[in-house]
Amino acid sequence: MSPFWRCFMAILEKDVKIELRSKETVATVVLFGVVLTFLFAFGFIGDPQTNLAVIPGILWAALLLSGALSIGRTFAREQENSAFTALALSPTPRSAILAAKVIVNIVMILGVMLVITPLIAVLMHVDLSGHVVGLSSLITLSAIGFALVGTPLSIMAVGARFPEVLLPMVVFPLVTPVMICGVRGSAALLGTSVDLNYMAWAQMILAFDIMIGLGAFFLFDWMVSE
Amino acid sequence: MSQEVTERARLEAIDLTRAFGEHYALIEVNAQWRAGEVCALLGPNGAGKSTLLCLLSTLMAASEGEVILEGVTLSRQSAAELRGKIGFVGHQTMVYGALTALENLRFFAQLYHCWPAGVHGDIDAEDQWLMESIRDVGLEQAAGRVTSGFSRGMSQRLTLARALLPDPAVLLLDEPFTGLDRAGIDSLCQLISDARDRGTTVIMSSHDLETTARLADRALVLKRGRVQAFEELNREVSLSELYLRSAV
Repeated sequence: MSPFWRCFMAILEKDVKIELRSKETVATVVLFGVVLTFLFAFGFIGDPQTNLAVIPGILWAALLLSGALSIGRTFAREQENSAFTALALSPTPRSAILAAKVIVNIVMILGVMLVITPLIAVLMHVDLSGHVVGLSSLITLSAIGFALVGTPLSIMAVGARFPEVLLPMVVFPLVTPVMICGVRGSAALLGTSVDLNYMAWAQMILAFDIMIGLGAFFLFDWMVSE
Repeated sequence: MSQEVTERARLEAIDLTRAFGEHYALIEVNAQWRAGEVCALLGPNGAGKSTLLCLLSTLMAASEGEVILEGVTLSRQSAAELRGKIGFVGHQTMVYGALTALENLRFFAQLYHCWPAGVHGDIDAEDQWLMESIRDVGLEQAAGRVTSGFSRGMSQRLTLARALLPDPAVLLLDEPFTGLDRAGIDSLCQLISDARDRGTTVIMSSHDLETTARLADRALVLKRGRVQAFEELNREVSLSELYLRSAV
């Protein structure tokens, strides 16, 4: 097994083991997402057409805020006892650290969305069963984009004085294109917007994911060193 | 592995300078360290000891100058390879509180891929080998406990076990005796002494002159980022004399 895969698997296994033991990030992010969903749902609920029109905004707002919470916790385990220093001092390829952390964040965001999406549909009396594939692909691509932007930047949170303030300030402007494409794409999918086919929006998110992914893996080594 | 380079310098710092904005933490430090020696790094607070250790460990990049380990100049390209040859123990314990002592060592062994021949792939054999390292630092009774409940001394011993796991060519210790009781200090001294006997180059910063004097073969004294003295220690030159003469 190459050093990349060996280290990637070791970091992933370690993070999953710690999360299963403590459940602190999963519990916090899911609970936050559910509370957010209830607030949005009861705040915006109206006639069926209005409900259909506001659902994309609610979904991507939930993804943005729950995702921010998740990426803020990315290196929390490493901050404890300065374990990140030990990780940085090991011969682990930096790309393996980033890849493992990105996967953890994607899984976390998708997990939350898996709970939130049906909950919104139930609370707002909207039938989304005909759009499962389209919505899933838009949400998955957006989660990947969000994690690719947020995870490398969360390295700044290691040692920062106010990471919970700093991180969203830097991440939110950068993920705005993903969020806009996600909202417009799901609106097109649900038939409340007819400017473009949802596939066109999905392709735009995919293009963003590829570009930001290349940039993230290229810059992460430098970010860790600095 | 560590005994291969004994003749020439194992580790070299050449004109090593590190600036933080306008402030220079280290200024043109030149030094060479041999295999199988313990070098004490002394100096008052803010002298640049921790900065020097960070530069030698690859944790920080030099503003100017270079570090050469076993003939290879440290750069962004060579850093990943060289990191496997460096053990580092800092102020913090650098272990995962939610993992047990055994799981911590297993994780780092996977990252360093430092399993002895015939051990890798066999979970029982791997655990047995890791348990030997845990036994060496006297933590065999606590191997299955999560480290968040460890005392400072226990965590420090586990940290040293982690640093020694890949049998590093260079072991860097930043204030390793902080927070340890007498028994913990004695145990740590023994481990450092054993590492030196195996040919490891040990560079250790400490304010505990009495304990450091038990181990050190040479001492490098820093003051305001500059080298004030770098001398062999013997009956004529004691550590405390050198420190008083150079740093105070």
